[in-house]
Amino acid sequence: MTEKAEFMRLPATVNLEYKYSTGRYLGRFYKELRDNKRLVANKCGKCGRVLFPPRIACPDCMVRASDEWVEVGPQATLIFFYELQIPGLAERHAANYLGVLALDGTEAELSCFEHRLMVDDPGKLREGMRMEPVFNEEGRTGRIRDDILGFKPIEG
Amino acid sequence: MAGRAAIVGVGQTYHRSKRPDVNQIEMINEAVRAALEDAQLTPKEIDCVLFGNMEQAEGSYLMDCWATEGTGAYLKEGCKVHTGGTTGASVAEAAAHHAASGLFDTVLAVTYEKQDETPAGMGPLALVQDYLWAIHTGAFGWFARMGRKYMLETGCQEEHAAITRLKSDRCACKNPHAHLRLNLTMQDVLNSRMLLYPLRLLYMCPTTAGACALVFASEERAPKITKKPVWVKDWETVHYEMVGYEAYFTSRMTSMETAANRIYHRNGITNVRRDIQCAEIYEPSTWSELQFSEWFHFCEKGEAWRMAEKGVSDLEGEFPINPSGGVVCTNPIGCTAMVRVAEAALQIRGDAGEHQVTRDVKRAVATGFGGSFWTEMLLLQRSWD
Amino acid sequence: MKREETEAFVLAQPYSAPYEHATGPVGTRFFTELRDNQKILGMKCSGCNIVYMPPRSTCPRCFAKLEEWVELGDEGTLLTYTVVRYHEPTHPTDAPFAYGIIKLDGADTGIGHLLGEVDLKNISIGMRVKAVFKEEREGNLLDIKYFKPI
Repeated sequence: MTEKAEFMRLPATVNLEYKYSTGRYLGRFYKELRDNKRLVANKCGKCGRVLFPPRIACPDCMVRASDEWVEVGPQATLIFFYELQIPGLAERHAANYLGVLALDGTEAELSCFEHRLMVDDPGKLREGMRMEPVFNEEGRTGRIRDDILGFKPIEG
Repeated sequence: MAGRAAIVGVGQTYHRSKRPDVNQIEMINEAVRAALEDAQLTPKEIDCVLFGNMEQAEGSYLMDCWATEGTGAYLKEGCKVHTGGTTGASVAEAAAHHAASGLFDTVLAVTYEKQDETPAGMGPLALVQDYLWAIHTGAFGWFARMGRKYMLETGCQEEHAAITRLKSDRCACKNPHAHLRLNLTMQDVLNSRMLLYPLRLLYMCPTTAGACALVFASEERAPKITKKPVWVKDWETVHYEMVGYEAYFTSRMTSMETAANRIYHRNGITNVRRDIQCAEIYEPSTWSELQFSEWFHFCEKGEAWRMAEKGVSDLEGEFPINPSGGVVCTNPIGCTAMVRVAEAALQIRGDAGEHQVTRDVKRAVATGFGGSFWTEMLLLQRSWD
Repeated sequence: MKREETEAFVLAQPYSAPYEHATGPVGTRFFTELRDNQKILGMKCSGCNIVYMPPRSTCPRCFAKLEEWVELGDEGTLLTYTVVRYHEPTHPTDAPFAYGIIKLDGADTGIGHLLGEVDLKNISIGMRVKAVFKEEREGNLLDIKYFKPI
């Protein structure tokens, strides 16, 4: 059965401009990152765990977070990494390697996140290695994926 | 739940990569006709129609409104349920609720996904993540990370994933409704393209066009419709919190273990492989089949790859897992979890055909998995007690 | 929470996705006839005695499979209408324009389409209209440019 000859398809491209409100917790995070290149987290009001990214409630205790804020990172530990081998994916993410990272001062299980890895020699990538962020110096928006260009190994 | 509900009709399309020969509504219609024929019911005898799909895949919205000529919902009650990858199980559970509630004697549950409606593939689903936070690597990244962790923790080697993938293929080749029926060799699997280590193309679920429909009936009505009602004994939905990548770290999936623990406890299941005879689980990748089997307590922690090596999960095995070929062979997303329920029901009826398992299946579980790693689980039985 | 305590941001998230919808055998025949022969086809359910336009492969009311094609004329009756006076990117043409539901002769269901060559102040329900086809047709509903008063 030849698709094009026998059956017709109608194109319908969807273009939408969404606008997402961050709320006050992530809002503070975005503002600190954009204006001061600082990474901040809040704390659970009950168990005292550091919540990164900051959020309204601790997922375990389900009580409203306290108003106590702490600075975390910017140095981080590389938990896991992989090469983007799917065609198109490296271009889309502007990176050949992605890593899962845990910032200093955060609990990896609760707070690790994914980001681009900026490495000259991928052969030197090791799980557990120490890394630091490379900040975007111009036109920061507050978004961690835009304002941090990637993480690079700490020299020495 | 005071009342009882049973599955009395099962229908699905022949799942394929592309279905240019039908539009969405016509594809839905194929599954609905098959389910009604299986139940020997006319659309007039259906009281309520529940519907679901993952509409980002088609870019046509509120299809419950537009697809009435596909579903037969004209002037009937019902609504749409959309819970992402778990949609199929959610619709099945909602239908069981509706039939067991006493409000409806017969409930038709319909799900579909026509993934050939966009050349972007999974692209439109990129927003289906934590929308403020994530860098969108999507499903590939998750399942690669989970597979890697599993290897490191349990000593599982890639050949065990390959053995598992070959098992899925053997099953799918016996299931005419399955999408990927490839007659694979070990070499085919090990040579298939690496996407993200250790996730090869053949370890990942495909994009599929297909539909599935189930007819549920109340306790009173079910035995009048069929000699082989499949009772929906129990079901469980567990949500999950996922900002941190807990699945990567702890090698445990809280939502899956919670669902399984609750179902087993409520139903006196103490030895899972003795008390349940078959499982149809939503395994988005081959690595997931191994891991999820442990989280659902089909075996001890770290034992799933040994179970696969011994052929325990084969069609002829002691505890068949995904005798239909599973999700790595067939994945019409919003419908995938309902296919699990449908296939488990067929195994209990003994109507699975060539992919009927050797073991007599009196009781089976079907699961759904989706979006934020949440879990749905249904326990199906040949007799209520 | 007091207003000054909030530090909420609003983030832009553009979303673009290309879709291609299969029209199926019935849709393919309808759009092909429209494109190649300027013919408008309906589908009849003999059981319900209804002619559907646009055509369908299953009768939504009695669930019968439908195969009885009916060629409809290009003339019909305006069932209802409105005049659109605001702009939206999704509109098929610039405002102001008239839009109505037209029931073609021989059909039992109406279809939404544009009204053209018409005085926007002088449209009435029940008026007779006729399809005007585009010169360059692509196989979609806008191969009918609009319906004009007879």
